[in-house]
Amino acid sequence: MPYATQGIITKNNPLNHQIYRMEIECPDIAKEASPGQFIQVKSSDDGAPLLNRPISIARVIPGGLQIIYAVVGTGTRQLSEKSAGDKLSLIGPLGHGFSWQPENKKVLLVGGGIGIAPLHALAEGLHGDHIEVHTILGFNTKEDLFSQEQLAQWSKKLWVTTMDGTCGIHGHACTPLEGTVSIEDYDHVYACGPEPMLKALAKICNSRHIPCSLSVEEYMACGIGVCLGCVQKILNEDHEETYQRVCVEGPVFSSKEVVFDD
Amino acid sequence: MTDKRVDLTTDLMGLTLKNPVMTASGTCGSGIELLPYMDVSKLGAIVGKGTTLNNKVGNPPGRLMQTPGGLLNCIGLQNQGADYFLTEILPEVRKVDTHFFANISGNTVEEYGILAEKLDVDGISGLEVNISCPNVKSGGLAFGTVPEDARSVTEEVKKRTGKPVLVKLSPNVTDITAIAQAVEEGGADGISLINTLLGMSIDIETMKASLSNTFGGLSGPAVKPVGLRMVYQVYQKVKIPIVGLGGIMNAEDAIEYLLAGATAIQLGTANLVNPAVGIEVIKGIEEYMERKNIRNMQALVGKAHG
Ligand SMILES: Cc1cc2nc3c(=O)[nH]c(=O)nc-3n(C[C@H](O)[C@H](O)[C@H](O)COP(=O)(O)OP(=O)(O)OC[C@H]3O[C@@H](n4cnc5c(N)ncnc54)[C@H](O)[C@@H]3O)c2cc1C
Ligand SMILES: Cc1cc2nc3c(=O)[nH]c(=O)nc-3n(C[C@H](O)[C@H](O)[C@H](O)COP(=O)(O)O)c2cc1C
Ligand code: FES
Repeated sequence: MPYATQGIITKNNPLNHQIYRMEIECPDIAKEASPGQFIQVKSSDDGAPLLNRPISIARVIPGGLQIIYAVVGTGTRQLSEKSAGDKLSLIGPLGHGFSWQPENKKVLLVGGGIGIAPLHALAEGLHGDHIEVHTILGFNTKEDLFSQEQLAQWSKKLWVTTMDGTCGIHGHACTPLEGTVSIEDYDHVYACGPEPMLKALAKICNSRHIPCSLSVEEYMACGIGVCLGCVQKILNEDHEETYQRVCVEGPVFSSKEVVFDD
Repeated sequence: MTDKRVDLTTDLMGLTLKNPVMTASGTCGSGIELLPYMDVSKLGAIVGKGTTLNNKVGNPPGRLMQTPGGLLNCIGLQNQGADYFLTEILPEVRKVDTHFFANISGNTVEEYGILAEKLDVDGISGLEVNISCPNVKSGGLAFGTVPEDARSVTEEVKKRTGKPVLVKLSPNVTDITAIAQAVEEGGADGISLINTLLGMSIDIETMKASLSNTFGGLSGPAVKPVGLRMVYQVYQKVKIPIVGLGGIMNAEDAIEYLLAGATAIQLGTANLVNPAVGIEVIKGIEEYMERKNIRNMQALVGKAHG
């Protein structure tokens, strides 16, 4: 069950020039949270901006949560200006996150940019269940790197890609699948990142019949399922195209259900 | 500390509401979705998501855009149709001990009538007739901008239901009082206003409209002065009760609407920001009445008029 509650910020530090990691004490949400779920965060109490901001739960820590966010506009800038001790209005945990089969042996995680955030809790959970985790992290350039050390603790193998070739493999997060990494080795693929990345990965996994879970993003207002604003086009069991709510039925969908527009 | 001398009970079209605080269509699901956040039965009434005769998929993504003090939406009335509502949603709604209004939208006058008849069932306290949706191609807004059409829809609905009927008006008109008078003549038991104001936003990176439907409805604090003015104007022209809404974010905003002439108020966008806002507004109105030594809700309604 989700809660609307006041959290207390315990840490808020930059990881690089654009990305911050915040820790929030919020025992109610923490005890119910699972990998891939998100919270609605109120970045300002004076009504500007009006809406809460959806942010993934990066990790569950004792009595609280870790979030990782990129400063891209007003709301996230306001978050970056907060300090330890400040209160923060939160709603969560929200949405359907990642799930896994205990009998899976080896899985691949693919994260692009800030989409790497929710993969932390996932990698940690899989590792805890003795499933072998391999991870690909995609960035634009070397300066954008974050979290590679953290994710390495739970990953048997980890590859970094950069679009400009300044670090790791030259290319995007799916480039390693063209040779270095064999997708057939995995029982399941999990991904979060920009839409072109998810689309490319879905195509690869669907054609090889490898189960693949994608965490998608949509502009949100309520985050709790009442406004119907955050929809994603989904192919349902009856093979009909429907619009489903990213905040309730998602954000994690199977690559077979997600319909990408051309 | 509740002073029992303060009585928030509100009579709306013959229905007894626990208080004047309702939740607005499209912003509270069927009320059930708000249960994790508050005791929904404490609300005066819930207005359900817009229901159409048949399943409606709604507009493609790109349905929301935030603007200063406001929200643009073009949901496009996504819903699974009246039959689905009756079999799947209404049984859940009945478990919540407060009034429920079904909000209906049709493409033709006839369709409004069929919907009214279908929804004339137990568990629905009344209807709210949406003649003001800016986000669908036919019907909707068209009925809300021409007085004769607004009257025809009202007459048809009244003919086909025994429930009290609220008609929800669009602010996208030159003279709101003309439409209000037309629906009063058509037999409406009450009027809800306002629905959203037609607006748009452009993404300067893609150089295209931000919303998939190009235009959308503006709601939230930015529209409050417009809604308030319209409630004030309509109060002077009609005898039937008014349900005021548009940008109400807290008890102070709600009280302004009551003073302008609203018998009850609805919270819309506010629910999207704070799903427990309903309870806070009820408490705030109660505290205000205690402070002002006003015993009875009715004494507040329309008090801003000379
Ligand atoms: C389920 C989900 C999980 C997310 N998890 C994370 C995360 O862990 N870390 C992170 O940094 N970001 C995450 N995001 C994206 C994050 O919500 C947006 O970057 C943030 O809302 C931008 O707010 P802003 O005020 O700083 O920017 P704005 O100035 O409002 O806009 C900047 C950009 O952010 C997008 N955006 C703005 N408002 C919203 C909104 N309400 N919903 C979705 N997108 C929006 C806009 O399309 C725009 O491109 C997530 C989004 C979703 C839907
Ligand atoms: C996301 C969203 C969906 C809405 N859907 C409906 C609807 O289905 N039927 C309707 O009559 N009004 C609908 N409305 C309009 C609201 O009920 C209300 O009239 C309007 O938002 C103004 O009030 P507010 O500023 O308090 O939100 C919707 C508004 C929003 C923001
Ligand atoms: S954001 Fe409102 S339904 Fe998902």
